[in-house]
Amino acid sequence: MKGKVYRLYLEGQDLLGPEDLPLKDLAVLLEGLGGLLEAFALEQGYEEPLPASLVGVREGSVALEVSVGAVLPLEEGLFRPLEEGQYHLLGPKTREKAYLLSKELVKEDRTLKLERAGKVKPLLGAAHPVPAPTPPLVVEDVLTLYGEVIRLGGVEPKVDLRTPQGEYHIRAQREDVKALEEENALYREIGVRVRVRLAWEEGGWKVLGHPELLEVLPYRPGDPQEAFIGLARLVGEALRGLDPEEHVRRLRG
Amino acid sequence: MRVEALDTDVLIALLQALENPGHPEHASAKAYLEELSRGVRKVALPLPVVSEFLTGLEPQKWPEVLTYLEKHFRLLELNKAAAIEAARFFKARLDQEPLKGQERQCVRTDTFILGIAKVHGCTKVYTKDKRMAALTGQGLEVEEGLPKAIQDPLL
Repeated sequence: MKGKVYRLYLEGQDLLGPEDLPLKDLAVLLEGLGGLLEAFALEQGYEEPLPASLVGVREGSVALEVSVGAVLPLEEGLFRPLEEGQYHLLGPKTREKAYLLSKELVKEDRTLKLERAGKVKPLLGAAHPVPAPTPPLVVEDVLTLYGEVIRLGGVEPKVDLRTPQGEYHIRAQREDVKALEEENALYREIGVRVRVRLAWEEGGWKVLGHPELLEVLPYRPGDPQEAFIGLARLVGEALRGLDPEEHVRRLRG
Repeated sequence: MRVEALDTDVLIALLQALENPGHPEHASAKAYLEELSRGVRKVALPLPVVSEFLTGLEPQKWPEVLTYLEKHFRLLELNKAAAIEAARFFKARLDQEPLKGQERQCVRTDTFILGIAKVHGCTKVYTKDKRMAALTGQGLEVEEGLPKAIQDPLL
C-alpha cells in the first residue's frame, strides 16, 4: 500500500548521486531508518507491521522517497523533534534508534535530511548528530499526592485523583476505598501516600504504571485563607518579634 | 494550576503580616490568600520547612501545630526522587563556584527544599533567602520575597 511519501536526502562529500552509495551503506541506512520508524510507530501504539517502503531513489545527492502507509504523527512527533534537537520529546526506543542511525552516518561523514514544507533540513548524522541517550533513571519510590477524587471504587478498587501534575489511577485496597466512600470523598480534595515507579526524563519525573495506595493522609482542606488565619492564631504569639530571616540563618548557617 | 512552595522565612513572615493589620505587607498577604481561596494557585510546604517552622515554637506546641498543618496544608516529603533532584541543584551550584564553610550547610538545606518542591510538581518557591533565590533553574523558579497576587482582585 502506498501511503504518504517523504523525501529524504542522504548527503556527504563522497555522494554526488545514487551510483556513489554502496549497496551495503544503503542497507545500513534503510535498516536504521526502518527501525526508527517502527520504534516511533510502536511508541504511538501502532502494533501491526509498519507499511513503510522505499518507493524511489533519485539524484540530489541521494534522494530517497519513503512511503509510510499508516496514520502516524510523523512530522510533529518525530521529524520536528529531530530537526530541532528536542530529543526529550521522543520515546526511549525512538531516541535510541535515532542515536544509532545518527552514529552510523557520522562514521561516514554523512547527513540525512528531510524535505518538509518546501525546506530541506538535517534530521540526523554528521551535520546534526543525535547525542547518546542518558541511561534511564528509574526509582521505586513513595510519593505524596494531593488532588481531587474524580472516581472511586469499581470492580478493581481504585481511587482516581486529579492533581495539578495530572490524573493518577491509584490501585487501592477495598477497605480504603470504602472508607473514602463513607466520608463522601468523591469530588473532594484529599492527600495520599502512594508507592510508585518514577522515571526521570528530561524535564521531570514521569510515573510508570499505576501507583499503589499506601495511606490516605489526614489532609482535609477547607478554605486556604481560613487555614492560614487559623495557623496565625495558633502560633502568632510565639512568632511575634521573631525575625524570619535571622531564624533561618541561625538554623542553616 | 500552579502549586507553589514556601520557604520557612516566607511562611513566618506571611503569618506575621496576616496577624498585624499595621504590617506593611498585610494587604498583599491578604490578596495572596484570597487567590488561594479562589483556587487560582495552590500552596505547599516541604517538610524541612515544617521542621524549621516548629523550631521557632516551644516543643509543647509541636503536636498541635503538626496536626493542624497535616489537616490543612499540602506537606511535601523527602523521597528518593527528591534526593536526586536535590543533588542536581547542589551539583549545578558547585559547578558555578566552590562553596565555603557554613555556606555549604545552607545550600544543602536549600537544595533539599528545592528538590522536594520540584518532584511534587511545584513551579515556584518563595524565599527571603538570596542564596536560595540564586539557585533558580532545573525547571523551578525561585523568587525572593513574599508571594504577591497574580490577578486583579474580583469586584
